[in-house]
Amino acid sequence: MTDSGSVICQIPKYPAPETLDIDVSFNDQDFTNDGVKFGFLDPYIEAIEPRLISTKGTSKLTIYGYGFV
Amino acid sequence: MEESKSVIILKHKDQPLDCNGAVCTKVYTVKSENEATVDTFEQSIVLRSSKNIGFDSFNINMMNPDGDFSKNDIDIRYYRDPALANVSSHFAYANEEKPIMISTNFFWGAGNTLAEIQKYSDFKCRFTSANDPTKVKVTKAVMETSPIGQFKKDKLPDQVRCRTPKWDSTDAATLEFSINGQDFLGNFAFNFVDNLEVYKISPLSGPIGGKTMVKLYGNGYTSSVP
Repeated sequence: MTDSGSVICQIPKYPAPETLDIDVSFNDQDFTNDGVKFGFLDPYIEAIEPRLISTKGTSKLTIYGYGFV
Repeated sequence: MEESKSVIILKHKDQPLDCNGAVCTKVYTVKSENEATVDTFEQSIVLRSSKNIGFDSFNINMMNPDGDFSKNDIDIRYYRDPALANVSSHFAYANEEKPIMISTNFFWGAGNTLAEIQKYSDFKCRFTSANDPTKVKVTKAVMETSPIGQFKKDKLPDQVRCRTPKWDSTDAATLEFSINGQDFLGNFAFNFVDNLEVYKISPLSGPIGGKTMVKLYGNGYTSSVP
């Protein structure tokens, strides 16, 4: 617990891309059930702009997708 | 939220891609959970099977926390800079949006293919004030075959057409062109001259047979047209 309004915890490893509920408990028995979710997502590229790039290496690509953290 | 993270790899979809003997990697910058940016390499250092990548398509993969690469089939490729020969006009009235044609060699079949340029290009013209470099206006452009309207089956586009933006003053500027909407080339001198306007006509009417001499009152008739 960092202050009265926040808690820090480390996300465990998870074997597959999935979005899960995240709940908090102080007694290992009673958990919150507020529908807060966390997604385990590897970077996934959905689109790239531009698709044509300069031979000079001056183009900067913007990559759109998921899981860019 | 903006943070540099992990590595990005440029990888040919069929064969390993090398940059001077090493895998081409770049650090990407995260803009948000759904957006990242990354710089590219000069074409001259990107190899495939010990040969320059040239204008072959390739993919970009991002390294995930497990060290694997996210896969996708989004092809990107280098384009060959077109050669811009000349511009149809070097001036426009500041209050008009004038069509400008730029004679262009796209090097069809020698670096660029029509299908890919049609599909992936984002043609733009950019006008930059010579007196105030922060004053920049970008307009859409299209490629076409000259002369306009005379479609010839086997003739490929050989010019670019864009419109001048409205400019709020007389000004000297430069005109540049971009194939991908980001990298501009060409450096044509361009002038925005006095607005051309009509305030009043006298007389207001005349016989249907014509031949009435009228006087037009307005602005820009002694414009500094180069």
